[in-house]
Amino acid sequence: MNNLKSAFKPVPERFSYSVRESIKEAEIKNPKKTGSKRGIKVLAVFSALLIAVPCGAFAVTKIYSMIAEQVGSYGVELNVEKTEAENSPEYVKLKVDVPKGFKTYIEGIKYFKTTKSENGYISLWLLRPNKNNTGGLLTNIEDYKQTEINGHSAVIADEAENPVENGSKQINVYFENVNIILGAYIGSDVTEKEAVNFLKNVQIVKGTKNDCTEYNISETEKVGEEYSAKSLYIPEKQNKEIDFGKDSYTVSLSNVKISDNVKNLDKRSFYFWGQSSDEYINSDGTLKPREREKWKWGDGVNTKDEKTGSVSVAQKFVLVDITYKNNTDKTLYNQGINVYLKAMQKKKGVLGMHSFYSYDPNADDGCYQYKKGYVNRHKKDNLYIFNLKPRETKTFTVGFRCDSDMIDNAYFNIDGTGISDIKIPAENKVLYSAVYFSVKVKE
Amino acid sequence: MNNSEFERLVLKNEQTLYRVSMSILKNEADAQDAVHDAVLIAYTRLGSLKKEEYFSTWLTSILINCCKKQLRMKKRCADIGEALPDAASRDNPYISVEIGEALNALPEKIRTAVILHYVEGYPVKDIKRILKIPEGTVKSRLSRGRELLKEQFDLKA
Repeated sequence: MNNLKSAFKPVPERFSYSVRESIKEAEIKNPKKTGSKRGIKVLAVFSALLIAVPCGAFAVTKIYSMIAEQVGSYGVELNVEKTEAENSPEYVKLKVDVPKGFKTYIEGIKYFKTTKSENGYISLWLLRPNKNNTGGLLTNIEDYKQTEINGHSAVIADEAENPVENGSKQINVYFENVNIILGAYIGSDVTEKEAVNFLKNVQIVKGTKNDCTEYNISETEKVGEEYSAKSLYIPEKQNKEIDFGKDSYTVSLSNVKISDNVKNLDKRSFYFWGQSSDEYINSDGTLKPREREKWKWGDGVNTKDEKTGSVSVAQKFVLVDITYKNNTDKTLYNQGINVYLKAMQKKKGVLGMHSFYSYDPNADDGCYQYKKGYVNRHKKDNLYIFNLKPRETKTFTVGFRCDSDMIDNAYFNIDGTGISDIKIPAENKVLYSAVYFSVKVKE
Repeated sequence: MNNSEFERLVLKNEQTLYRVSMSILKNEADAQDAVHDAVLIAYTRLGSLKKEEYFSTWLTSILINCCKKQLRMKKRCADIGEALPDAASRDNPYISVEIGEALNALPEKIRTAVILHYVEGYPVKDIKRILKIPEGTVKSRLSRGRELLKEQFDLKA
């Protein structure tokens, strides 16, 4: 091994020239401000601090980092350097000080830019590194970088083009104080600067069993596996009501209607994410067909998803009434309308409820559009946040565009994610308090 | 840190920049591009460097990330049918062909760790910081690198 050092040639002059030119270019492109006066002022402040602060305050605290490592061509594994047992509380609390330019959609979970852009979202989730200090594998990543956000180690990853959205990011921030990784999906209409600024306003602190916490984090052997196993629930008997408990609300579905024409609906209640209704609806109230993209799925590590074509599909409009009943004696704040339309189909050979935009019959993969296009009782947009007074009941009529060839396979999905005030018993080992409940559209 | 200080430190590490980038990219044109990007990034991020004594490990860390980015871009081009360039003589940084072949045959992650430790002389704790991997991983890559190099030299003998 001692021979290795002498195995290299000296640096060639052309390489050396290239390095010197790079230095010159860096200095030209980034001129430094000079000013001895400013330097003296900064020095004076620092000296004052040295006098004022007791010596003990300069004791160094070890900060453990989160480290990203490339896996294959498109995978990024998150590992944490080390964790201390006392930094892994069973309960944690997520606090978000929503900055200007954003508003809450579902508290602690999803936020949108006030410009009402469909892709102007920031979606949060939490996970705990497992016993091997692995924080999970990010897939379909085109590029990534390590950085720091508010002194916490962070990884900013650019996603490869995919069926759901193009050019979005994932940012993961490691809160070493509680050994939790905060994950954030960033919509393509949110800049990196906006996203980083948003995440600077997030705190994760130790919680207690009696806190109003959105998340009950417990250790799992494999990150993410337990969540995906418990997140899907299809009842054998179609039950149109789900009770989230005496400390939360009960939600029920009724009055399903499938229509080819929407001219009798209140035009003020349509919302297509900032786009005009004319993009989707003809002047006579019939629905315009949708271009459904075809994608071939990659494994996200060595291969990425690829678009292979598109097909024009006729549309139906599906309406359903959703009723919320507050089971408590206190006001439930910031509830979102949590019903979605999805299709039961295979993805990569596994049957499940999916809501992607692509369909490739050769791959046994299917897709479906799920975004609400209509919410009554609200005339501005369907980022509808409502409060429920003690024991109050509220009903909304919600509408979805639906591919006509998927209607027989479509389900309404009630999403338990982000329901505030829900408390999970300590013995529950579910990583994430998500409950999906599905009701078939056509019985 | 002023400009002349920055220039002095970068040139002081020139040999490291050459050896590390060439061992990863195996191609002088790509190595020059990676070093160019690393120098620009380092200059703009000087504010994040806590102590001058860490400059070498810090710059090497930036360079390795730039090299990885180059590799990913090259791989994409190769996937759509563009052939990777053959290594010409100017792309061979090794005096000893034998050692060069042995190092090039190592898997990229192991080769990088071996170069940083046995050629550049970085201790394990510095390599941990440069590559942002746990200390145990550094040691296992070095150990594996020694095994593989020994196998190759034993075979040739």
